[in-house]
Amino acid sequence: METQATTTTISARLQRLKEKVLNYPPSICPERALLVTEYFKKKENRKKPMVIQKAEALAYVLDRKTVRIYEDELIVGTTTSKRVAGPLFPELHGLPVMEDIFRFADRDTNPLRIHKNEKTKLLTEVVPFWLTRFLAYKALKGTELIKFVSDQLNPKFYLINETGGIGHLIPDHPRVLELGMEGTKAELRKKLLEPNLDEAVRHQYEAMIIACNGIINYAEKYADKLEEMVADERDKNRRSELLQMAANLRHAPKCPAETFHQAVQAVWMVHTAVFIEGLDNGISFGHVDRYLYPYYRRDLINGTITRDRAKEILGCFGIKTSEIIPVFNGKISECHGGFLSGQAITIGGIDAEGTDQTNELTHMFLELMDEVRLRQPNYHARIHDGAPKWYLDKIMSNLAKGVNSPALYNDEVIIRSMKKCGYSDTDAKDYATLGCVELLAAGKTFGSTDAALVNIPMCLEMALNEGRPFSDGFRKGRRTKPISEFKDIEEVKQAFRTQLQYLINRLVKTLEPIEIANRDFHPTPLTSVLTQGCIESGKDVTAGGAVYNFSGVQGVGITDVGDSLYAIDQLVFVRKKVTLPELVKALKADFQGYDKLKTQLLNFPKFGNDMAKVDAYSRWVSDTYYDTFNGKTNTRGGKFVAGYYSTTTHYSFGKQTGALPNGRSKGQPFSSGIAPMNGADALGPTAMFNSITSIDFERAHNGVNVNAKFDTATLKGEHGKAILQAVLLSYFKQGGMQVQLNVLDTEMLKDAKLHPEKYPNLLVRVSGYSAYFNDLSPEMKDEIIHRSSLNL
Amino acid sequence: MQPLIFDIQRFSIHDGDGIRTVVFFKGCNMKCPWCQNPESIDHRAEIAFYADKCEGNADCVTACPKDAITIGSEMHIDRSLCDRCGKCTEVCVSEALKLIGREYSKEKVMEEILKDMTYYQVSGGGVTFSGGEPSLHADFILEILKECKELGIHTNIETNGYFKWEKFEPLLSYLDQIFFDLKILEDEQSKMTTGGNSQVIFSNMDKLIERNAPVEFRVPLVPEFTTANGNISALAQLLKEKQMKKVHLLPYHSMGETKGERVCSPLPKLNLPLFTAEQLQNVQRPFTSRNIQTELYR
Repeated sequence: METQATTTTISARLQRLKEKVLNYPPSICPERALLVTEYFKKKENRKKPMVIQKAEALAYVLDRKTVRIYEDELIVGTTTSKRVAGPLFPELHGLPVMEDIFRFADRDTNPLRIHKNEKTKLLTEVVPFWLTRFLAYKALKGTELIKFVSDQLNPKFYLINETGGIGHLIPDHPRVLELGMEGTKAELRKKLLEPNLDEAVRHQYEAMIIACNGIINYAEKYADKLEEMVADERDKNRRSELLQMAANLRHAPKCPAETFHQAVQAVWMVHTAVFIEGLDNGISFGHVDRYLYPYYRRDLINGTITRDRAKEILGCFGIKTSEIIPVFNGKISECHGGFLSGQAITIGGIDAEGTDQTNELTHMFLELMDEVRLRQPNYHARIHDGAPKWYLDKIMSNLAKGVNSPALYNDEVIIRSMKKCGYSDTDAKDYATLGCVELLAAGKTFGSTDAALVNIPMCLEMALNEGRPFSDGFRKGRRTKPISEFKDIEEVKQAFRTQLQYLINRLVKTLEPIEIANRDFHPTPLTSVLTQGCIESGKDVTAGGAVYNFSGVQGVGITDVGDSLYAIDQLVFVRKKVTLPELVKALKADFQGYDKLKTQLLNFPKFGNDMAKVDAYSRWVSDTYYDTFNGKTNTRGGKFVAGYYSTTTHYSFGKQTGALPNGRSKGQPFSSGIAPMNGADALGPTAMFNSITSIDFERAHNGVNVNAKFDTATLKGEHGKAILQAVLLSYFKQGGMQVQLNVLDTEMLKDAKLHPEKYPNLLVRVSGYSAYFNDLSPEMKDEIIHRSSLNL
Repeated sequence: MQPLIFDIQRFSIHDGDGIRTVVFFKGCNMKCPWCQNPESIDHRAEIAFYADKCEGNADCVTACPKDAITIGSEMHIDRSLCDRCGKCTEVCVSEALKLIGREYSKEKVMEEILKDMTYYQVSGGGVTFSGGEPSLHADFILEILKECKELGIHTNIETNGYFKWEKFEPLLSYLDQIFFDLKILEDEQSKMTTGGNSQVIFSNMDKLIERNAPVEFRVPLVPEFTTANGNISALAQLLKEKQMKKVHLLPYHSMGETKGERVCSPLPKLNLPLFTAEQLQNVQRPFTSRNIQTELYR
């Protein structure tokens, strides 16, 4: 493809928009919570079928929420009434988040601004109503509920995310652009005419129509406001922009989009509405470069758009994603630090026929990543053998410069993995990315990709203590053999497997009532309209209406357990340097009085150094984790699938876990994602990547997060760029699934920790997403600083 | 005698084209005071001591068959008693004691080299033999070179040029790249400073050029040593006469000196000032003014 000469600096408009977003203090907006509560407080509403209630509540919020149009914007629509803010979902997360109302502003990690009057309103109008109505309350009763809530405030065994709703999907934007909401409504009306419709199905269709109308009305409201603003606007150019935007919104997403600008605006309207409907997390965009390209091409041929204008529209769209932040309570912020909202854009890759899909818009996105550099969206680039040279060049140039976007995805491995977990050949080839690192078929999968995360090292801890955590008198796992009876490493592994199976069974059992509560009390009719399979089947996504259903569960601390098993095998059973009871005694004492043993364990060979016999243990742990889900399905009829990314739970789970035989002390973080222990990879990136590819990623259906850090010196100039490309492509050739880069100068990071004011927008890759360094907890900052530098 | 190898370094990106694995041999026939790998000079293995890692467990004291190790306020190795057997390094859990230089079979070296095969193929990289002076182990290297060429792996050797031609010549047909160090041109000065006979070195240089060998020249820039007394201009003039178009320049840094402290290095501490950016500009001028392209390593 010929690419036109491209601008390399951010446009003045985008710069102004970016500054506005960066300078706005992250806040909480109570508007959604108040409106939803208002709707549900009306008794007559609560008599309607639940799915109708949810559709009407969404339409109610979309109709009454404040219309905000900011200076310079070419794409409008917000999820809240404030510039950078998160809405509240009292009916979902309910109390576990609301209990933090008084602390949001003052907490250390991710403080959120909220006005005093707003707090009072939430406390008097919202909290009392949802006290006995929020999702976990409906799912679990009595002591079960208390146990669950207290457990999840300090997650020790697993962290369940589904009580906050499910989210994590890619709406079928191409279909909206093609049919418009009116076209979709026509389909639904036809469905309603079918004879012998089940009552529940009829309600589902009616609710879907209400949701469609909600979006149409939402767009009209914005169009009204834009037209109003024209009268007060003195700038002639801006006046015509406002009129254009109003006209766009009168037309799409109600009707099929006709222009590029309309199409982008329609995608954004749908996106914000989906955010408002359900859990505000992981809502992603799919192959934006592909589905917008025909509109761009047509406008270009008609002479109604220039490349610069199109790029500016895309830039405005991208900046809007940084206005959205999630509201977590303090505890959950420790697990998902850095205002993670997981709005991913997938670029490049092949289509169902196997043809490369990069185009001029792909190039624009790559330029915008470099020029805008905001926290969101998450840009994910698909890589395949036939990827064009300009595409790889531009990606490597971004990464070598330290842009830390895009993250890279290996088509070959991912497509094989998707087929293995049940996708058709064409849907697998057409995969898109979601949230941090997850993989699915856009508009077809309801994957609950972040259903839960599991503390894997805790299973080893319990295996070494007859089913009890070190810090707990009660048996939380299965009773396994006393350690004095273990004859060889196989028996230790067997006990670990038993604990893991027990924990996963418990997790799946705990998830079941939560899935049912999501289905019965929190159906999402709009999401269902936007997910293929639901209209056909007349079922909500929460009831299994989507074409593909899954629950993604992340294994955290895989390599910590792998290295621990290797150390036990060698030191206890092969070399007999220490007995297992002695070792466990040292672990329980957190190595107090066992300094030498701790040093020995820490210096023992670790995953990440391309030593086959060491890496085999981590491979075994990941295979065992994968096998644990064999035959398990959720209530939506979908498989449970394994993923290996930790967001920041390797830190929060680590806090709850005792010392490990890999030499890690009690309370210390685990390794992130599937990475080697912090600093343990001593032989450079090729050895580290070789170790990583010893894991079978075709079994990591839900995705994996691999962070690689290079320093600026290694990546200097054309030579550095070429080396980087060679390293990353070789890693993919050998079976790597995903990788993202931090290019950082350690001194700079240390300085940033000491003088945060000097680095207001220093972006770092955390785990599948970028966050501002200043938004991370002190411990996470230290980890980023210490994260094994791959450069020797 | 089986040569000792003291490191096999992966992901090397400044020792030839692409991504490379560098095999470092122990033993050198020169003693350049600025040596970056002082632990490589001696042919024998050595015991390196990393004081900052020592936790005073004293296992080394009991393990030492020569009673060469004592622990008072700090740990001390009596190097006159130590016979470098390495027993102490086997028991040191804190990795404060390390054995530098181990025997490797050719198979083991090949195994390490092959681990990064994909990276060589994608980047156009390969293997580099360095040291010490690798050409002292030409027989051993020849066998590995043959195998590498059969497998299509790009090969490079980094030599100080002070070798017997007959020993080096057999390697030529298997080498894709030769990095040849030029240090001090004037013979007396060369012998005194580095122990290398510059007549031998420069005659080897001539032979390689005559043979059209893929040789590239590297000059270490060391204040008071290689950059003094018009040495750089003389080297530049020589390269011009040989119609060389390019030279690699390696500015002095003091990183090697801390390494020396750990192994009772025979080299003195230099404590030379580091180059300023301006000095680095100036020192390149004799080459650039003769139309020789410089590649500066930092």
